[in-house]
Amino acid sequence: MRTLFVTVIIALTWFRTSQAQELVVEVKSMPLEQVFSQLNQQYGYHFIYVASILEGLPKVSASVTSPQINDVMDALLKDLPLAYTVRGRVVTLVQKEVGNEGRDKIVITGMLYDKETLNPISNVSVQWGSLLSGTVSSLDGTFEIQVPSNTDSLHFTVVGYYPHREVLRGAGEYRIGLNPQVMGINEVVVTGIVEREHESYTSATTVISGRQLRQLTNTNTLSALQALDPAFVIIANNLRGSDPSLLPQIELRGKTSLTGLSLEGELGIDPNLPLFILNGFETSLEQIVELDINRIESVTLLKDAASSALYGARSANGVVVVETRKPVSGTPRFSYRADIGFEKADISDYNMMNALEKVEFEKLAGRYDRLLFYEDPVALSRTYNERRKKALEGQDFNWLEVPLQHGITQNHSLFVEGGGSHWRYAAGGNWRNRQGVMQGTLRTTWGTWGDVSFQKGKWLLQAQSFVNGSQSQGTPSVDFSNYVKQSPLYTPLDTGKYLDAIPYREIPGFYREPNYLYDAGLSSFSSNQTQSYQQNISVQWELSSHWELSSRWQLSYIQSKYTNFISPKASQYDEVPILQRGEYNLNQSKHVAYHGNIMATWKHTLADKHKFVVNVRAEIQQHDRNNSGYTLRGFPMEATGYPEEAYDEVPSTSQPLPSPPVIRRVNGLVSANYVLKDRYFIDLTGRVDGSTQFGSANRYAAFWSAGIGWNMHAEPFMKEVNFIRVFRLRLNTGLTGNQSFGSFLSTVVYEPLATQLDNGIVHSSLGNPQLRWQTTQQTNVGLDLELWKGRFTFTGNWYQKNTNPLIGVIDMSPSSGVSSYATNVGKLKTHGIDVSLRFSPIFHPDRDVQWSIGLTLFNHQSRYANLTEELLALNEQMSNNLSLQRYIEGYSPDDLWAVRSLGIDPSTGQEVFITKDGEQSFHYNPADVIVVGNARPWIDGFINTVIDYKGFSIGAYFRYSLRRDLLNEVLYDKVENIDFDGLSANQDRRALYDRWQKPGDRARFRGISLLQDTPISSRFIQRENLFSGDALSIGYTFRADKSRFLQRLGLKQLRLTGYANDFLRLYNVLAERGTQYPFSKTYSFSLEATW
Amino acid sequence: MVIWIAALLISCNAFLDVEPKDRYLQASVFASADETELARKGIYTKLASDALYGGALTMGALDVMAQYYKNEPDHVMFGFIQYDYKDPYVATTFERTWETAYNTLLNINSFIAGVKNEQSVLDAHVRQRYLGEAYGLRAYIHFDLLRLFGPVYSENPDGDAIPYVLTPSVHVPSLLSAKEVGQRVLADLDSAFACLSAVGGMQEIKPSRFNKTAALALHARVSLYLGNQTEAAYYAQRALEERKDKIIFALPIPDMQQQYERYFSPTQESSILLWPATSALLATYSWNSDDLRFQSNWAFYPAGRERIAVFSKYAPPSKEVSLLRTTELYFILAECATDTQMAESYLQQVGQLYGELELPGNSISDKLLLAYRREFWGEGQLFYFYKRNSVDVIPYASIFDGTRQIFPEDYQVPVPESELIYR
Repeated sequence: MRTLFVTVIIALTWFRTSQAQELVVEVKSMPLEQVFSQLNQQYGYHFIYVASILEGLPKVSASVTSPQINDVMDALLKDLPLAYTVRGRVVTLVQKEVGNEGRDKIVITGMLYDKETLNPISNVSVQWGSLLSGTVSSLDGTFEIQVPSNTDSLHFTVVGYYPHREVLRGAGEYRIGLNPQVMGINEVVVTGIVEREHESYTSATTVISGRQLRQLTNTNTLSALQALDPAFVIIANNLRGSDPSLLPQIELRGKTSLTGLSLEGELGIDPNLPLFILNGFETSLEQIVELDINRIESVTLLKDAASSALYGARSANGVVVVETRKPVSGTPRFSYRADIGFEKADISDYNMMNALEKVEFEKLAGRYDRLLFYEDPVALSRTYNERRKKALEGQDFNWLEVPLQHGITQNHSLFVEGGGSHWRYAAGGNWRNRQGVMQGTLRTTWGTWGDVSFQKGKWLLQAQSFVNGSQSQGTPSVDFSNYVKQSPLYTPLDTGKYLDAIPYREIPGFYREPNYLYDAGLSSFSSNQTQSYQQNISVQWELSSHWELSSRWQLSYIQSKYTNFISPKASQYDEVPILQRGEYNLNQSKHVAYHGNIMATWKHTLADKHKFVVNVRAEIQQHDRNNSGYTLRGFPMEATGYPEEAYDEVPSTSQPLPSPPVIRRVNGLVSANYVLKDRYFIDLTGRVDGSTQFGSANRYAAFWSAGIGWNMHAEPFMKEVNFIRVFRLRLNTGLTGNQSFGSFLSTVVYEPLATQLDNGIVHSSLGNPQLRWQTTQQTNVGLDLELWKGRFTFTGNWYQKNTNPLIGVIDMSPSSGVSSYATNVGKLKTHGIDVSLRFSPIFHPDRDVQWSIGLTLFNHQSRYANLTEELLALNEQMSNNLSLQRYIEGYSPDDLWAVRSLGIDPSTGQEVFITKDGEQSFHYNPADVIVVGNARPWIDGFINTVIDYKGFSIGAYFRYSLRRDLLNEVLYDKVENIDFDGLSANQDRRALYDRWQKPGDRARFRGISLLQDTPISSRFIQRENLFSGDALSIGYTFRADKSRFLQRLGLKQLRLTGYANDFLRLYNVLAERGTQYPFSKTYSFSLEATW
Repeated sequence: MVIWIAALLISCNAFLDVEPKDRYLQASVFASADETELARKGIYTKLASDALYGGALTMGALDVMAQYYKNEPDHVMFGFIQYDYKDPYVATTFERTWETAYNTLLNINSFIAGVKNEQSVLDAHVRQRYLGEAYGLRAYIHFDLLRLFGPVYSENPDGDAIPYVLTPSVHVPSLLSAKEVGQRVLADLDSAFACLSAVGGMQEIKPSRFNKTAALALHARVSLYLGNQTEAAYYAQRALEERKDKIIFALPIPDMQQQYERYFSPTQESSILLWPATSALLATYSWNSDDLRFQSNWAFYPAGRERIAVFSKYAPPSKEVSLLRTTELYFILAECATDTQMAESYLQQVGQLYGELELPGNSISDKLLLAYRREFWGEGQLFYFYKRNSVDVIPYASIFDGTRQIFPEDYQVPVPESELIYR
């Protein structure tokens, strides 16, 4: 059906709230069109109507002064056959129903609601027939209309929703859901500071709705973001896998800082971590991880300078802006969501020997031939025979499963909202309990929150409070790797510090084989508790149609407590006096912070062509963190971990915990957006930051950005090209900063050195008064494309990020008296592309029928430039430490450096290396290293497919990563480099099967009996291609209008979803993952009911 | 408007002017007499750490290397007995000693710079005393680093020794020869003496702080090490004139009880405990159980059928370790004496203090060796005596035949690897 509407102007809502202002209309016999045009220019109202309905109408006269547009419209349309609806600043006009025409009439009543939020929708135009007649839904979403009995359907249109056509089945009551226009042109980018229309914003931002997130997972917000934006990457933690108390490491468009040079500031912040903003205020990664995913309204990723420069000194790594759901007024609505999940450890990449293989390997490796440690040869061969017998008898214990469990995760959230015409409220809470896949690991989080907003005239007041808490228990006292090491010849019945004793030959004593699991049976524990409280208040005041003032304040209090007990029996105390064994440690930290800002917004439209928005903002912050704690040493052997058990109740710690200094920040911001004829647009941002972290010499720093954009689709010459809906080019550049470094890098700081006798102060670092702060110059070029009414969408960005100067913490010679020193060490240049595209072979969003296929792609490259002598000097050290990294100009921090290897010489079993000049050599020379790989994938991203069919939805997200090089540590540690002590541990099968044994063997690995170290060569670096299933979900929504059952329960809606996360993994490199704590697969189910 | 902006900027600056809570910025430390005093205490506390005079350089590693103690192969300090400087425990110990020493020197240099900079904060004589102590300690630490990591001086005075640091700086200081280090030590001692003398006689002389007599006594010790016997005797004589107390400079060790429990307490595991063979202990004191040092420093605990000798000099309530003793001045005089008679009489003066019988031995140097062994047990001086005299056989060692060979390379403790990578 052809749409007859002429959209006079695209509705651009400049304000979040529609508030009245005094309207003055004085017209004398003027055509209506002209009146509307004036109202538009003066007051920003937009009028939508079919042009033909104004034809032939008389000119109007009116004189009204009122804050209500309704009064004006009533006066204007007094005697005319027109009806109107108002929604925000959009007025829709329709022809009034013409009276009785003699035909049969039926009465249709109904209720209109948002299919996603289930809120009623008011001011929807309800039309029939020629679309010229109809009515409008009232505040509570209901409507009543008389239509000729032969009318087959009704049409519903309203801004922000897809038009809907409902087929009539006779007179009666209808409940009709409208689909919100998610990808609509009115999308607003919430930057946390200002709001910008996506249509006219030059920045590369990604807006992700809460619904999209929940289609991927019911718990892990961050992993869902990774699947939806290619530039957002979670670095897999190969040590701690799926440990429930692990905080993920995140990068948005790669790294801008050096890592590996102990750069973590005294706040312990990863210098490559993006900044997180929750409801307009800076927050921590931990808070985002713990936030109930069901509360999230939207997440916006600010990837380039145009948007992140708003955050000045801390924006170099991009910004993640999270907004929670805002309450909607109406009768109270309750919703409840329950999630239950099962987690299973993924240990398929372990390839350990069984008992027979283990004994065989020990034999071949020469365990029983060697007389190390004076062992008695007779006893040795007896040990071998006993072990072999045991293995042949079937003794083969699988240790991998011992510490594991099926983790169960539960989450319950409750939500209520409602309100009247002036006020709204929402409140809720959630409780989540996650058992990890290793026994004894548990993390519980809970949160309650409340939102109130009050609106009267030109004022809007909002208040939000949160109370959150978390508790995690039992980082296991013994890593998973210890279970992996344990020999299958033993069983859990074999306890004690040592498992096997082989007598020495001439001297009394035994060689004892260690029990890797001895510490697991002890009473050691650790636990972590956090509570936080936050109160936000905001006020908005609309001074006039051009000016708005707003102010927001936050007060937050976070306290955390960490307790740790190490049993006096632990093996780490083997060489400690008996009275000093055992340790109880308690650390507490309290963090009080406030933020406040005030912002003035000015916006203006000139001659319907020039649109300006300017924001001026000032902000103030303070963070005050206090740490306290003590350590007790010396516990009786039976101690279970109460501080009262300590021998000496006086804390024996000599160092009180340092409290970081009070951090204060102020900043001033000016941000402007100008749009010409909806086609050309410019963004400018300038910000000055002052911070106690900058040091007194240069306390202020300035940051800026500038961008231009072009909406080519709005050009007159594109009018004819119907299949292009959006064609937008963007370009921006700017300077952003990074402040994740300590406060006092530029001056000497004395610290207390307290003892029982005397107090004194000393300094153990030297300040660098010449230190310049790290800044990153960013440039972004982007293209947005929407074709065939949104059936195909594309967003692509090319970016460049140059960090200059880098701050590096350089190790110093001990004779200088300090161990390290912060200094500027050079530049890091990075560039890359991120692309997202989506195509829908089936595309009927108005009917909720859609099948789409999406692809994201990310490529990132970086290289060093202008490195200083100090950094270059570190290369020798890296060479001595057999590190894979080098600091060399023109090369990437991700490059892997190693000596090339030709493999193992079949005749001697020795490794053949290739020197720098390309010659073959048996001799390993560290100077021969070249780049043999890159630890970053060439490209990676996600492929997804989403099917929506009338309330039924399927989503599948697969990750791919191509050509990533990695050091396979299993090959390095568990196939080769097995020393004498390593012979008692279980090892990878390849150590038995793939090592060279006799001349002529074509083996991948060196001689099986070699116990000495093998240096890292290209042999251990493998190129990985990976395809993994990250998320799969199937859900169905039952609606009350379609289900009697729900009506009987009084439910409006019921949604059931099943999820599988990390369910599939196809790879070509067999390497152990999650060595201290395994990774897991998750299967979960969620139920969401709304009353 | 301009006034408004100016007012705003000033208030912003005031808002951003934050002092750290539990730390002190350098500028503020030396602007206050109290905080300067804290920085001075900090230096002494650093000196008392386990890596320096609270452990390794006195009762710990150095005494083990002097072959005072019995040592089984499974003992954690076996590497010291064997002079196996590649042993990880040994290497780590000396690395920590090196790092802590240079960090203490950095603190001393910052202290000197800070006190010199601020003319008006301290009283003139307090200022002089602080500076004098700082110069003296700088000399003391450098001299011990020279004795430990430097070459055997009498054989190779021009060999590379250690860096001598005079200012706080992040540049890698260059290695100086043993001779140059010795000259700088003496220069610092002269400055120390000058400052400490300028204070006048009114000051209360505390042996717990580096003092005027300590400057003279150390000068004597250094001169002797550098082979200048005349000067050594001269300074020893002057130091003796200054004071007649037994202890010239003794460092308070706040963690003494902990250190005692770690090294000597009979509750300690045998693989960590330091204890001598009873026979070697008795032989050291010539089976004279009336020697006051034997009586006060030793206790016997039953262990199975045997009784083990426990070194109880540092048992509670002991809280300090002697770094310079008057008796050493007599030993220096004895060593520098031109005739045997004189030498014997100096040794007897010490012997009388303790009820010691005549020292056995054929020569003065044999007697001196035993005298050092008896006097400095637990104080780390004996190994330096061997090194200074290139002793090749150590008597009274706690091994079965009582003597232990020592080779020239055993005297050369290598500069730690963590330092060498910058060379």
